[in-house]
Amino acid sequence: MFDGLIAFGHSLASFATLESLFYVALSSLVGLVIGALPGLTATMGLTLMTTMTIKLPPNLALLILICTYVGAIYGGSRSAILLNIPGTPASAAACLDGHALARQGLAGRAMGIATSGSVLGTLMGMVFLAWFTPVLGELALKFGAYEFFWLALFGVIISGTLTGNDPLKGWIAGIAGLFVAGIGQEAIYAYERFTFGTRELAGGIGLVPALVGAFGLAELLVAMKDRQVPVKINPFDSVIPKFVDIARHWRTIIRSGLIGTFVGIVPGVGEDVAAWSSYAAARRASKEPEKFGKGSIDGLMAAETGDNACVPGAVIPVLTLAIPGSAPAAVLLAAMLIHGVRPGPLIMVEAPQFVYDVVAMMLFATLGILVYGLTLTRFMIRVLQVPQTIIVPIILVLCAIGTFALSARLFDVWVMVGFGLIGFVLRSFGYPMAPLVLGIVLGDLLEKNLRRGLVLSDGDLMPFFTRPISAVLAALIVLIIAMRSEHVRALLRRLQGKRVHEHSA
Amino acid sequence: MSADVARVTPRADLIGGIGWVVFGSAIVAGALAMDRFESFGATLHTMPGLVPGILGGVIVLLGVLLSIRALRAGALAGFSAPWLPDAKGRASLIRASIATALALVYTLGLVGHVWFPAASALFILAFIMVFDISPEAPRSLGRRAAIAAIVAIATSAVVSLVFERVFLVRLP
Repeated sequence: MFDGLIAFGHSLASFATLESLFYVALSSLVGLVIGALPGLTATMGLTLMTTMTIKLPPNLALLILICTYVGAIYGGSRSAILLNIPGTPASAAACLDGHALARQGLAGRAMGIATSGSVLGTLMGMVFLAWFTPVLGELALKFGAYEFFWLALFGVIISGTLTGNDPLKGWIAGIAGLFVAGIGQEAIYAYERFTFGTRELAGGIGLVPALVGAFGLAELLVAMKDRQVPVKINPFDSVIPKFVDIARHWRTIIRSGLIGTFVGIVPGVGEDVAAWSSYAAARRASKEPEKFGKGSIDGLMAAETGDNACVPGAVIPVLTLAIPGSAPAAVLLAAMLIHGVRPGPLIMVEAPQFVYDVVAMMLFATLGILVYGLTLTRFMIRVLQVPQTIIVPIILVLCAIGTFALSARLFDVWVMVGFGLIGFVLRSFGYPMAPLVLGIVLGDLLEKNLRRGLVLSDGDLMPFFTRPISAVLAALIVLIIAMRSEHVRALLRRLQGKRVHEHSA
Repeated sequence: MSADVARVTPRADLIGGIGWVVFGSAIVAGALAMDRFESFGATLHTMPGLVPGILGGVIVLLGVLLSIRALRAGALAGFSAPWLPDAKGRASLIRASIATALALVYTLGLVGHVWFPAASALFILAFIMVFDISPEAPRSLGRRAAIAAIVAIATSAVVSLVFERVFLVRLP
């Protein structure tokens, strides 16, 4: 306990330099702006910032990425409240009550609630990050090849199920992502797969160029589909959070913080699910559920606390299992690998200080959103009024140069463009992007551990199903898939009906 | 983002499902054609084609399921419906196509072939000129050109300088 606090103190001290604070201020602002602009998501912000921080020392680069991540998730609430357009998918739940409050002339109060919810949510998640990471790290030491195979598959399947609105398409996107990760030389015989004789493909598809394409370029093209609606801002009151709003809703804050963190820990399930789950739980627990959707402070507080608590939650499996808890966390994982940080079960053995560094980064990011949340109202309104047709080409230029900057290869720019077009087409046909990203990130882990497991068991599949953790994960995957089947659901409904009938008889 | 929950017709899903079946089959065929390294003592579970083959098979299966679902939802009846979208959909398609074309010309045609700051400035200028600057009140051509030129030159200069001098990246 005290060792952890001392380590955390060291981490805080290491970031208390002018250079670090400058980067905190800059990246929180960048995150806030990206999050607030409709059409640009946290994942996109992180991919873009990954390309720009490639030359920085690992700790500074990751500090920037975490501040961008936290800032973007918080920033989404600005456009949700002021424009009724979620800046990121995570703020869709905040639209319902946030904009309803804005229409009543209470946009300032709504922004204050969003600020307090986001700050408290991130802080709660941060506490769990510091507390759970060593515990989960200990548990992860028991994971072998079999468990890691199932965990990678679980991440893709659960992400496919819960992100987007069509699990079948989510699974297809996830499996396609897993396939993409396998392009290039495989690990045992260095055999080139699906490279078509292209030298550049032998090393595989670059993770970051693919992510910049699927999330950067594709998002820009989708954003250009619709003509931007004129921005009309209602007059609003003070954005300083009211103590009474926090004190009256402390139960909602704690509940949503817990839900958000837990949803974050579940591999592949992101901030949007955290916000909706927290919102739904708050509605169920509320004495005034009829106010939800009509300007409920409880609802807005729940959504904003939940999605921001999910951010540190999503980083927990990144650190302990090298499995991302959300799509932006997948980019964070990729960035850690690029910078030579090796997350995984051994992190508490090899680099325990790094875990507390990440906790400290979260604290600085929280301070960043708090300061900007209280001060930058007029600036954010000006940002929201900048025409999309000016923002889109600027970001596209950043996507191109950022991708090129990774390793000075034009081929990476082509990969980015290719994935941008694929991502655009897939989005247009209703395929969610998060499972695709998870698949690309987890493909290598899945393949290596499947083949390693099979070599260890000499081709016997039984250890994949008989080891306790493996069995649980396998059963969960089967359950998740089975529950989406109409036949299974009909069977369950019939069984339920029969039970009710027997009870009434 | 809202596009993640785009509304898609059963007809489009059927075409998508068939596309996935073809794609998955190609993967399986590619996996089967891979070297099996039997002379190196490779067994089934160490062969390079194992995982791509399995994934290809799963994609085929999911593609079939998607196609069946689309057929049940009346995909075949939908084939007689117009293939072109309505006026609003057409406008969206045109905007996205123009944006895609400009992005392709910039990333594949200009970047790496033309001096980067000039290529970027040209792209930004063209992009802003093609699309309306203000959704509320489209400005005159001259004013639009002036704003576009300022944004294009300022952005390309700042981005180039930051990447070249601060991030120490050789520009494409």
